[in-house]
Amino acid sequence: MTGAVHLSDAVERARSGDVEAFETLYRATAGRVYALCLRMCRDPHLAEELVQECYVRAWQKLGTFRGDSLFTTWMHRLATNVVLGHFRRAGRRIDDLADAGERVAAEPAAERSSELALDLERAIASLPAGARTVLVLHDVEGYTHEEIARMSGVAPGTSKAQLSRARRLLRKVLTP
Amino acid sequence: MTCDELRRRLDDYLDGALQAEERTDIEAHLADCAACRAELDELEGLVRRLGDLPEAIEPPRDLWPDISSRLAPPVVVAGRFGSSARRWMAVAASVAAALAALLVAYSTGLQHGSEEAVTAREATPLAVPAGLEDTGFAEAEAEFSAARDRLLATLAERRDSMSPETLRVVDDNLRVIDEAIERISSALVDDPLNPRLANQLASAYRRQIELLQRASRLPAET
Repeated sequence: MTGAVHLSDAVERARSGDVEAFETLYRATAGRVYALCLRMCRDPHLAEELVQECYVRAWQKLGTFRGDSLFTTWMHRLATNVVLGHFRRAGRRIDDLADAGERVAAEPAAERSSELALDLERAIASLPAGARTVLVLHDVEGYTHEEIARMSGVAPGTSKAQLSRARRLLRKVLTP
Repeated sequence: MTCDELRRRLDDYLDGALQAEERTDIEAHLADCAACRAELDELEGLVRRLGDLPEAIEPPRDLWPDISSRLAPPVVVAGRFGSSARRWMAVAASVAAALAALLVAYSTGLQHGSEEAVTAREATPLAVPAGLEDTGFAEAEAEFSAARDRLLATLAERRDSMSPETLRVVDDNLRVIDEAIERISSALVDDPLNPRLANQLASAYRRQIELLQRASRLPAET
């Protein structure tokens, strides 16, 4: 049985209220959802709360999943919207190009680790919120500027500007 | 095209967001400018690293218990017992809660009630819908049955003090309720996700306990 078929079966059962099946879906996708939440909000505790919110929301909305995309894709999109919704409620605007200016948090600029990925994660975490959000959605998660614009309610040009800024800041942080 | 102009467009170039003419201009500049090629290489390397980041990061703790505790019972729709065991357990749990409330009321009633009894009556085993053995329902129903037996025993001791008319009314009502419980339990086996049936079952249990309590407290008539 392939993973997709396995999840497809679990989706069907979860849609009819089978909590065990929904747990299967959680186990299969939680890592990706947590990674998204953590990278976008950079606070592990908040990321945990957002992950919980994502799955509670998914449970409520499973009936709207039509199956014309992979469950993982649907879940990821839902998680992105949950995080962006949290940002909106918290008054964090991803179109604020002036947020934190060209500054990055001091912590990640610390000594370079031999683990480059960890360095990179820290560097991402150091970015201003708007730049970090767009960078994660575009360069890590693979969304287009148009998709980011639709989800976050900003112009595609704003998304592009935030991405350029994020990459520029990242290179600055990562340069020895 | 100057180096500054090129670098302002480098992200769009890398992301394939430029028109063919602009791409041609940039590529012409890159062919002659080592510094801008280095800039492009660095940017490409960064984007590649970002794309290579682990897709998943496991949460530091298992979040499922917290999530599952927040999952509201799903909208219950008619269906067969089996693949929907979890949904039925939610229904059973509501019936069990109703029974538990009845038992509290019954215990309170015993403390304030009389010791007299009414009728001798065989306690009919209650039908437990299949699949409920592992839920709080079966346990609550066992307690309910024990409570009912105690009330029936009290009623049996009072039987001689009650008029035939009163006994007949009590017995008829108990029989009607027993039949209702049997009928509803049977319907629940066929339609275990039906919340209306679950409510009816809890209601029938409640009526039976209330009837037995009232009968146990009737003043002596003979």
